[in-house]
Amino acid sequence: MSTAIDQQVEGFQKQFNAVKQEIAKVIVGYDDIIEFAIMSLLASGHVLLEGVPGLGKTKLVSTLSEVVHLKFSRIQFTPDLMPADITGTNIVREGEKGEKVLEFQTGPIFANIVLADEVNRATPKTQSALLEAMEEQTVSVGKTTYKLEQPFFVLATQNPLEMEGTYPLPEAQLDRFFMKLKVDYPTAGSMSTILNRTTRLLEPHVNRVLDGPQILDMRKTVRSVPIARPIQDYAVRIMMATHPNSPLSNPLATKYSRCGSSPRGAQALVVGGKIRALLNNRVYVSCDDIRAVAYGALRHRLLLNFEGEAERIDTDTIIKGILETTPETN
Amino acid sequence: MADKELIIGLLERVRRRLRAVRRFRTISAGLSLALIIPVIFKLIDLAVPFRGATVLVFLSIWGIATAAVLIWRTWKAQGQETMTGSAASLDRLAGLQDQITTAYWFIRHPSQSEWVEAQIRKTAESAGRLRVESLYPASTPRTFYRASALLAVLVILNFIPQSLNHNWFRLEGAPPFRLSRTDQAIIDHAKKLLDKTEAAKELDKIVSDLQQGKISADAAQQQLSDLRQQIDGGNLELNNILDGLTSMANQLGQSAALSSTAQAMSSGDLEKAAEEIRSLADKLGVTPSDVLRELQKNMSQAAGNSPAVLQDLSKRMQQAADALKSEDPQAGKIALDNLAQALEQLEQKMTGQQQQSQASQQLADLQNSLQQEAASAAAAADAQLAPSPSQGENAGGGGAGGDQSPNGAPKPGDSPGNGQGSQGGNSSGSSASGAPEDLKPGQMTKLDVQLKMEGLKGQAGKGGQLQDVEEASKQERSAMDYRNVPSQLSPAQKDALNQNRLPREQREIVKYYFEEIRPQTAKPIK
Repeated sequence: MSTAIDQQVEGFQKQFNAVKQEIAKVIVGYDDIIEFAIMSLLASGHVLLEGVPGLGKTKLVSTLSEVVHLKFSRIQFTPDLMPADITGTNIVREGEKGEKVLEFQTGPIFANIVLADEVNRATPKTQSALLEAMEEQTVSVGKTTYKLEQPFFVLATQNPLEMEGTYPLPEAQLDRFFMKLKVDYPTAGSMSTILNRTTRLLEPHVNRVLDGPQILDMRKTVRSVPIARPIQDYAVRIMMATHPNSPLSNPLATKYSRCGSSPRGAQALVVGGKIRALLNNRVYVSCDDIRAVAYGALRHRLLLNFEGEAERIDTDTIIKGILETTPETN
Repeated sequence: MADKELIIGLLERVRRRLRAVRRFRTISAGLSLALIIPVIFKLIDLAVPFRGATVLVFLSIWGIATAAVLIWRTWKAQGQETMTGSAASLDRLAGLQDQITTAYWFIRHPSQSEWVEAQIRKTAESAGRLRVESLYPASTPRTFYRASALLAVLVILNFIPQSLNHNWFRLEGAPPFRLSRTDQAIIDHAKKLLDKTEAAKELDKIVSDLQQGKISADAAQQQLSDLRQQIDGGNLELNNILDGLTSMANQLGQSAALSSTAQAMSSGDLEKAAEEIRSLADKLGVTPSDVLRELQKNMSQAAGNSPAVLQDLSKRMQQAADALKSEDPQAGKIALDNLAQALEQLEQKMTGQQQQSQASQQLADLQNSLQQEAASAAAAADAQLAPSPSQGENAGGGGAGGDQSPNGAPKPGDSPGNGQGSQGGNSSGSSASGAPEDLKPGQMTKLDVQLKMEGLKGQAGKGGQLQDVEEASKQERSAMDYRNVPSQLSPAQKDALNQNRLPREQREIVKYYFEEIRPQTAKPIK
């Protein structure tokens, strides 16, 4: 017997998979990256994509914007980019009667999907222009605050290799990203497919399968999924284990981390878990769901100390240790 | 509501199952550890048997302690199986990804949400498909096998057929008096020789009483002595029989036809004598009449001179003589066959009595052994009461302080311990303690030493009174008069029986002593 909830879950899966399949027409070999990116969109979060140039990060974002039928804008971050170049500015315009009036010219941030390409190349001042938009979903220019249209979704990319002339994102800004996804080199099998698709006359064409209202509905569905207290406690224990001074701290975190995840990390674990539960045709969150999203949700929230930096410890290693040692039941 | 009841019911069943499994594991693990103790104790008991009371106390303490620990552990583990834990266990085993855990939490914390209701409904569907018996199959923990093996070892150890082994399952322990292996061997041999006779039962009773502490070692020796007298009573008859046979053989030997029979009788081989008589009976028809007369005469005289113990044999011999006198070959043959039969019966009787004689000798050995053990025990008790070894050495040193002759021989008036200088003195001093381990070889006595008379200085004791001993005590006096009993044993057997028993701890000293007093020329240069 199919109930309304079952139908809702089924609809969610269909829409999610449709977006995924459309993006997969263009982007090859990054199924999990695509999935987490869509997951972040549905969780009302933002994504930081990290990878060397040429792996298709920008292409992934642009393809996503094409598929979801939303207003898309791209901001190429450069050292001379100014905050007003992002948010927009008041310009003096001549009125109908010849009078001078100030008119707000919206910046590229006023879109549904914003691609902040090479976000670490802009100065901190410009990077901080994104802070309010990402968290409050508003833009303040002068004395006026403008509300951003929903859904609002920022996808930022950064290159981990070229550190000359870059400004690493401050912790406060990193914490605003729902997930940080690492884009690795594609496999040999995937490369062959990429070459087949990109070196011919006709490039793959994607269809628009989702619009803004549908995304907002899906977001509501995600928030409706219940989570039992024992599972929620498991997420909390994982988050607390990242803190070096917590009684629940993991030995690796104690040794190598300077600062652990904020409560946003736990929120990301739970919301990410809910989406994954829906994708697995479940109406409740399990510990497996929490574990599945832990890397993306926590890796940018865990700050290494001097020892960790010196020994080039990857935060994923610490998270792996935490997942292996944190008990499911209290 | 039905969905919730179904889930709760399932969890209850799982909890009961988990509790049963945990209890079984706890008890198995506890027993696998606890049983090590009695097994070790039993192994020690096999080497050094414990008394019944010791075994009883040990088993009681062990049993109470084990039961208390197991009850405590089981009681302590009672609250460990929670419904949440059961749900987590079920999720893990059935691969339900926390479905039951989530559902149970929402049942306990109701929420007006369609999603929650859907979750509980789906969980109930999954729960209906679960089979607790297949998810939690009855498995036997490894500790159970270990405990079973230990129990089997304990049972086997208790049922090992060994004289020193006592079955704890029958609450048996070592008897108050423990026989040595030598004593036990002697008893077994004596019992075998006595073979189901009254004396064997009597011996069994004495040994049993001694082991159970009903009689003392002295009383046992006395009873063994009585038993020996009882057995040796038959030996007197055997001696008379042998004497009678010898005299009969002398008489019969005067006849040429009976010379081989007489020889066999005098040597005690009555079977051969019987064969000779039968052979004579077969040839009776062709035997000349003068020979028959001579036979009749000698047999009649032999029958007439025989002792009372050979009454049956003499009667048959007289009947044979009478039959020969009648010159009836048929009657003569029958009478001679009867005589041969009588000889064979006598042979059997003698064999039985010889066995009894050997048994008596075994009992004498047992008596000696018990006596020596009692003496050793008394010496050990004295050694504990005697002065400490340092005091013993001082005593020896005092002896060494006496004047010595140039060759080291003691001067008159010196104590016996100082004869060979300081070493001899120390040796004597050490031995004064009386403990066997203090017996160390001293300076050897050389054959070229001319022994001199010494005056011994006695030590006045406390209390007691002087007693003049004029004769051996009644206990040590022989119960029977000396008789020249011809031995049936070979020289090697005699040597084996006649050798004196040396206490084990003194054998090396005796050996060393004889090696040292060997003439110097024969001694190899080291």
